[in-house]
Amino acid sequence: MSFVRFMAPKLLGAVITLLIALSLAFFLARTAGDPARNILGEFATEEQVLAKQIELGLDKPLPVQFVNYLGQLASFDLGKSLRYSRPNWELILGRFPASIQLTLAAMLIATVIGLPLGVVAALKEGRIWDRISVFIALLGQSIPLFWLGLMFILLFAVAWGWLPAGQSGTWQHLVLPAVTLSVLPMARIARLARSSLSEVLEETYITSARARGLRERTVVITHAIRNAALPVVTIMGLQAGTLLSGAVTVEFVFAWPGLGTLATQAVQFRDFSLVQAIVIVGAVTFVIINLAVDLLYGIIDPRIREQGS
Amino acid sequence: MMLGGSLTTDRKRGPRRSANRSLWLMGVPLLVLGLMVLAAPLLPLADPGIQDLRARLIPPIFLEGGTWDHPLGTDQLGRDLLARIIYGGRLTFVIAMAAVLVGSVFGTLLGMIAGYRRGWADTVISRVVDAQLALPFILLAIAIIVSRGRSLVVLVVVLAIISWAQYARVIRAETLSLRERPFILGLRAAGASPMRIILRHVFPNVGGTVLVLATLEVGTMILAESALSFLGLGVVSPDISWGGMLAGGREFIQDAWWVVAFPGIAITFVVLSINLLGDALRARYDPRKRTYL
Repeated sequence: MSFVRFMAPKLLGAVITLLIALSLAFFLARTAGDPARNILGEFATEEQVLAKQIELGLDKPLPVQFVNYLGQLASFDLGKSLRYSRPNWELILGRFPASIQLTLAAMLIATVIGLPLGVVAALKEGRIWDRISVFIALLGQSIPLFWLGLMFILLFAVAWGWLPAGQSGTWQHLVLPAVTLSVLPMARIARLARSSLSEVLEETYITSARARGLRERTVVITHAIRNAALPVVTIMGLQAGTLLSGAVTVEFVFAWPGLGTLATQAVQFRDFSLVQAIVIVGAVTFVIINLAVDLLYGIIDPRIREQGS
Repeated sequence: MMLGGSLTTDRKRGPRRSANRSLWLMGVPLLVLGLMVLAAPLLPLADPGIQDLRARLIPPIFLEGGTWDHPLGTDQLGRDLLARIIYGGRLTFVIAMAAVLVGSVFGTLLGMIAGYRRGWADTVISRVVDAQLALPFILLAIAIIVSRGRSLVVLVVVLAIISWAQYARVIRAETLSLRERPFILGLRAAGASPMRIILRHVFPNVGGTVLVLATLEVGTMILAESALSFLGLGVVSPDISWGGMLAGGREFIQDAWWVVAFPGIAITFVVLSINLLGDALRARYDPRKRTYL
């Protein structure tokens, strides 16, 4: 019962956030310019533009357009792609498996490398290993990922011929894009694990555990890491949410057939409707993952559940 | 407790001094680079826009076939890479700075209002911040640029839209704790107007945080600009930015790696320096060493 009371406000909050996000997406994109003119290009005649506006429902006043937009969303209608003349929903769903595969692989690599990096840094705070891992994490946050991908292609595909440079299919195809994409979440996980763990290590219960004569390994593993895990779980969830829709440039570089590539193709063909649908799906995914993280929180840490109710 | 306290201060002295040192270590190269980029027309550089098809894809000086005329080689149209990187830095910096300025002013103001006034203003602003952070930024940028068309102003506005929520969230939290402090309570009791308190008394106290955030955000903006330009949504030729150079050189990567490698190294170096500088500033302005995500 307390769990329902813990989740209900979070669920409501997520729905409100999503509604505002979808409205923002609409107004930012719509008031910014006239999609019809942009779709047709600069040489279109006034009649063509007008016809296109009527076709897309852009001739109506903005509030009417907005209500139509919300109505469509409420009936799970994401519109039709201007270029492919197929429902956007179908196109997006077709790309989802590839995006999920890439995201999971990248998050796995990021966690396996980032977590130990952060833990070692916190345990050796101020010493050389700390410096090195902090620097690696900062470097990871500073490299343009698409450029890193290009450099990987240059080395591993062009120069040495170890791995394929693009497309998908086998696990070899997955290696380069996944490693490239893992760099940013790896850096974030490492930084947060470091700061979270070093904060916990200064708590009095750690001192008292040490004073009781527990072995350092026991103190770190059962007392410190467990308590430092919460923020790290959050950041992992958030990063996964961002990757799922934010891997645009990396997917583009490796021609990975996920949502990101679909988005860049939509841009090339000025497929405004498809771009908007992808933004919406991205926002929904992100909010759902956030909610899942909140839920996980309640399960991992009973204190939060109590506070919530 | 007392003993623990003195131990901590002793331990904190180390990182503090090293923070000051890295402030210099990072600040000086950035400053030099900034001056170089500013003074680009005065430097003995080739014209970054001049094409010379006979001198296409010349390798950098340390490879066979390189010449001192083009120390870093030339690109696919025979333009001097060194000159293009330095000139390209101008626009890259201008765009990033402008975006940070716009984003930080709006974000900070809204964050202070939300934190100070509480109530419905806080609810509305916080909700919008959450929603903004839920939108995948690069897709949102794409959507705006696709419907609006490409231009420098659009680019700066898009980047500012991406970043304002970050400031608002952090500054709101800082303001929340500030407003309960005695000096603010005293001012309120004395009848000072909210706007005056926010601008004259709250702002100076969150200024350090804004500075740290803004510094880090310059790096983020440079990365975002390069990504958008790489996708063909940012700076348009003949204007030069680092991301644009990467996009142009991508097709020639097999024959001429330097066309792609050098602009990327420039971006990484600058963003890394900015991030290190931001970290050093944070250690200085935020004794609690709090991590902003």
